[in-house]
Order: sequence, then C-alpha cells, then structure tokens
Amino acid sequence: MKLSTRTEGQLQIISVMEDRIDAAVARAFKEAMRDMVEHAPPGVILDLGQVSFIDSSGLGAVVATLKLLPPGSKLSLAGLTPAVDRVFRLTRMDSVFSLFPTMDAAMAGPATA
Amino acid sequence: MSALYRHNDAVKPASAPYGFEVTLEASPDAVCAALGHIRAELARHRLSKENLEVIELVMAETLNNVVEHAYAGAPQAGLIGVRGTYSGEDLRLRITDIGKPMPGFTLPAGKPFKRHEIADVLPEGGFGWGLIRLLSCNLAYSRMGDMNLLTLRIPLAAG
Repeated sequence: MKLSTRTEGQLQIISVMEDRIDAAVARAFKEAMRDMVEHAPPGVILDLGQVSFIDSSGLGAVVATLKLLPPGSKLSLAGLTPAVDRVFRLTRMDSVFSLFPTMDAAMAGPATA
Repeated sequence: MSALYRHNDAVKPASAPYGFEVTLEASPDAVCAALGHIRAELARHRLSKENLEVIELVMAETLNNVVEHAYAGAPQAGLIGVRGTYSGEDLRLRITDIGKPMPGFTLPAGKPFKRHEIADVLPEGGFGWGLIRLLSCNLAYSRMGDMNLLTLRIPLAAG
C-alpha cells in the first residue's frame, strides 16, 4: 500500500498512490493509515484522485481511519473519481465525510476551518 | 498471477448478447484479477464506464462475500464459479461455490444506509449487502446439496 503524506500549514495531506482500495488491500491500508494519522493536525485531507475503485472493505478501512484520528481532527476526502464518489454517496457516508471533487476545493473547505 | 482464474470463452460476439464464464480461486487477489479480466471483456462490448463500474462493484461484493464467509476457515482456497449474461439492458449473474451455506439458508438483509453524524458510532463493515441490494434486483439464493447458488440481475443504464 503506497501512501504519501505532506503538511501544508495546519493541514496534513495524505495521497493514496494506488488505483484500488479493495478487499485485497483494505487491511494494509488501515495499518498504513494508523501510523500516518497518529499525530495528525486538526485538518486531514485524504487525496483519492488516483483511486478508481473502492469496495465495501475499502470503505470500511476509510471509516476506520476516521476513528483513528486524534480527537477533534476532521477528515476530508478529495479528488473522488465517479466510482469512488458513488460508493460514498450510496452508503450515505457523505453525511460523515466532507467530499470534494478536487484538492483545491478540499484545501479551502471545512478541514481548514 | 497464473492459474488463479480460468476463463472459458467459446464464442465472443461483437455485441450483446454476450456471455462469459469464469472459475476462480476464492482469494482476494484472485477476485481482483478476475474482476480486471471481466471488466476488460465487457469494455470490448461497449458498455459505458458507469455500467462497468457498477458491475465491478456488485461482483466485487458478491465474490468477496464468498471468500470471507462461505470459505471462511477453509483449510485451502475453494473455487468460485461465475457465469454472466449481458443482454444490452442488464447483466445476469450466477455465482456458485461449495463453501458453507448462508446463515439460516437465507440472504442477509443488508441494513438500509442511514445518515450518521457521530464518527465514533460508525460501522466499519456490513456495507456489502446493502450495496448489492441497491444496485441489483431479482436476488435469489438457494442451497443445492453442497453448493451455494446466488443469482441476480444488474439493470444497466442506457448509453
């Protein structure tokens, strides 16, 4: 599971460098995220721009990431491709995560507040 | 990635109706490989990107359920049979395995999705059947001897 992280001001931006978050990699994703967000700032953006497919296992791993954040931190999702966006909306997870079509929109969004 | 799945393609018409049959090992990697293969085959039949994505999602959920539940705890990876028929308006799937039966010999209900406000109470699983039920219809399950048989139909958007 390839992830990269960088900090811009008060924001931590984590980019998923894979094209799928599925049952085959969900556990590895969750473990990798656990290390990355342990000391996360209040705003975290998960850049999903490269991800073209997510299934229910992958969705569960992203939800798990939200619970791993330090108290008070917010997680925004950016760059959702249509297939990924569909899964978050069908499962009503768009009520929990802030979804943004682009990184620029996410950086100007609630996570920065 | 050899021999993880076997594709039986006797005939390949250029458009609908189109049928495919795949036998794969019940493992997450083999499911991923089979999905890629089926997606590529269906893409050749001019299915839209949206339809391909919906089909891949429903197939991923149904096949991973077999891996994670029917064959849970099995001493060695079992096999899953997938037969698909694409009519132009829908894709009918027939999925078989010889793992454990569904609990109570019936399909899981799949809880309806609801809005959540508090992250702490969010479920981390159980989304699979909800997605399958939202994206498919004519879902039927039967246990025939040692075999699980799941059939469903995925309606496809025009274009």
